[in-house]
Amino acid sequence: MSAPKEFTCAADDWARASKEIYQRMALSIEAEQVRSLMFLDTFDWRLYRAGYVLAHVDDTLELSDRETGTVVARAAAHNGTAMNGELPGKLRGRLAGVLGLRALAAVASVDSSSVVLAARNDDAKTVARLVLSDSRVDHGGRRATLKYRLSVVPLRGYDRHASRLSEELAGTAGVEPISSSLFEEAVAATGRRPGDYTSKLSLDLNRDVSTYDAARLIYRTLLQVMNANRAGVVQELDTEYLHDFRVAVRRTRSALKELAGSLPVELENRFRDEFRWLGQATTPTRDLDVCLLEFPAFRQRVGVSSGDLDPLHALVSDEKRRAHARLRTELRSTRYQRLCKEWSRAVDAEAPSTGAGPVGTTSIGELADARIRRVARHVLRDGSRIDDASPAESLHDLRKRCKELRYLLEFFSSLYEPKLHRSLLVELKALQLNLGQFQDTQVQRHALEEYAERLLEAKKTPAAALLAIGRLVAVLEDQQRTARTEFADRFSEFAGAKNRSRLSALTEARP
Amino acid sequence: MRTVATYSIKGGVGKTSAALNLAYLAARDGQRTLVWDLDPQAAATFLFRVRPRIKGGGKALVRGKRDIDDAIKATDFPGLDLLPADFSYRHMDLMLDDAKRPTRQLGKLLKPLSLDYDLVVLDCPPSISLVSENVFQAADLLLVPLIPTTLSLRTFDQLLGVVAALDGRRPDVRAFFSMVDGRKRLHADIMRDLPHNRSDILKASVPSATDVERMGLTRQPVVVSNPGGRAAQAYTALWQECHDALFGPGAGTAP
Repeated sequence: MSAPKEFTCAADDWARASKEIYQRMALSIEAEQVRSLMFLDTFDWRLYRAGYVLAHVDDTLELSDRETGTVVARAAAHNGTAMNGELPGKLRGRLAGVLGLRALAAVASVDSSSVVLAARNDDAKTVARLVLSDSRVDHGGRRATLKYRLSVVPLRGYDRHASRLSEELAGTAGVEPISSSLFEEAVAATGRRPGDYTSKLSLDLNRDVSTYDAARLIYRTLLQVMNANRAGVVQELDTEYLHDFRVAVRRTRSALKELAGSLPVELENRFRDEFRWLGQATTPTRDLDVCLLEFPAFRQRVGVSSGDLDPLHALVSDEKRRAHARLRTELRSTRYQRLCKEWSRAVDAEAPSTGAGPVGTTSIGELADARIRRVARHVLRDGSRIDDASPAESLHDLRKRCKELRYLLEFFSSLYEPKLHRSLLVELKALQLNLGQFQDTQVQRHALEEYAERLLEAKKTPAAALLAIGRLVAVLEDQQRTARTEFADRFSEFAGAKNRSRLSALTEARP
Repeated sequence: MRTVATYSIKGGVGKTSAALNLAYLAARDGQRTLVWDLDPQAAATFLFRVRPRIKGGGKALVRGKRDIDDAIKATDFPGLDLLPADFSYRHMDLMLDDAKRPTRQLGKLLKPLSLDYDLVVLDCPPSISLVSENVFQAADLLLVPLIPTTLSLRTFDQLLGVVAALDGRRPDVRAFFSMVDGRKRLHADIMRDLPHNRSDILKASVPSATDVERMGLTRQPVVVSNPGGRAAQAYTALWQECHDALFGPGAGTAP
């Protein structure tokens, strides 16, 4: 095991220990620095999860390996570039796959005063460094002082010297190893924990819990997701805040339907309406987000004169701005605030304002089995009725059923055998992907036709722009036809004997 | 990862000074940079205060018996590492000649470093040999210091001919005027009479300056020891041109 590189000491020991180390190890002062650094990550900690730490230090962005602290990429950054999602070329290429659609935001801002001490050999070559730092975190106007930190910085090819320095530090009275990095400590000082948010639902339930308690856990968790994402939706930091917010609303609505009777019926009815309202309030912005995200692909599909789509892009962007302004108003409204407050009180773990509903005392294991069986039966029944002549709505309805099944499987994943559960989800996702492709192209086609009408009315639109939309609609029709043709195969795979037996094995009865 | 080699058939023309200063400036701009001191005289290694010794010698390195990774040493400057020289490099031609594809061996050795470095600077020994052929194959940019004399321009044209005749991959060859003495009329005449359309000669020229000579004493790049001096400014301008040649103009890392 390698020697620890990070140490700390109590405030009272700091002056004495620093002086002792400096003299005993014959170090020289290389630099005294006052630095401000800002740690950046996405809201769902994509860099942290991928093993990186990104820091904006002075005019530089430094990407380091989270475990070793080694800088793996460095790029000059002008103020705010990373925050605007405009990473310098070199980092953009490296991180594009990790960040996906998510924007970077500051996760902690640290001010440090440090002294860099150098251990040198007989040639006056620096062979290891020791950085003594005293740091503070600024968070919402409050300043938190971090622990004094003594960091050994090894230099490539001179590891032995760094190890010796670590050993000496470990033997200094009052100095002890610290396991958390500056990044982790700084994030903790802001009240967050790296990895504390993920869009994946992870609920720990067991079969004997009452439906009442299980439902409240589900609702509470989903409400936390909504609360966590609200600010990002309002500030429009990236499109994923709204995506996650909407998924949480949809999951809540689905739970209100499938777990009906866990809470008092009147309460459920009331909140069913409220969450329908909330879901509908978010739809226009999301549809326009999806349309804008598709633009690079649209441009590719219509071929060479992709500038022809610019008038359409301008129109959609404008619509999106307006839709978002309406959504922002809804999310700041009294109705929304009341919904959150009253729903939170109703589903509170410690002091719920309501008792259990008519099925509240049933064990969740029993109810989950029954609901999964029922919804799966509906998916199989509805899907088998779809043929080439069926209207697009029937595929849309089937897609909604599949989502219900997906949410049930996700709520109750902890109740089932993991391998079986995973296999079912994989099959379901494949079917959902096909239905999603069909539905998305349907929505986009209709939207494009409507936009084309409006551009035509505007009279100033060049003919090339309308022709380009026409070409795009034709491409989308073609894609929709392909998705429709593939549906039969996707569905027969999902409805095949193997998957049916998985479904029965999961809930121990034939659906 | 891009590779630049400072190269000249002649010695004492400012190869090592250019290699060190450019490497330092690249690292300061955020490029993770490695200097490989290929010259057995080990001037670059000395200037970085590193011991000129590779365990097992150059042979172990060239034959792949010693991992190139383990031989690398950090310099005193952040983001700038050194693969030191070893006296055995004087036999590098023979070591390379034993390898399977003797002219591609250096390039092959550098390949695995592409995850760790954005830029490799090869500081070459003065010669035309199998080592130089390897350098021509491995480099993206061959940077040739020229003392402004008629003969050195002639030699540079000969070098262009040699590179043009190479099979396969060829580096971009650019020269710059080095050790320019403002008091010498010949230097001024040569630089003035140079055809304006020669894009293979860079605009920046490095003066003959005391602070460059003093690098042996300060053991620091002049851009560190005397950042406001004429030589430091010349290297900064030269790096900007090299950066554009290597990464494309406005590629973003140079401030």
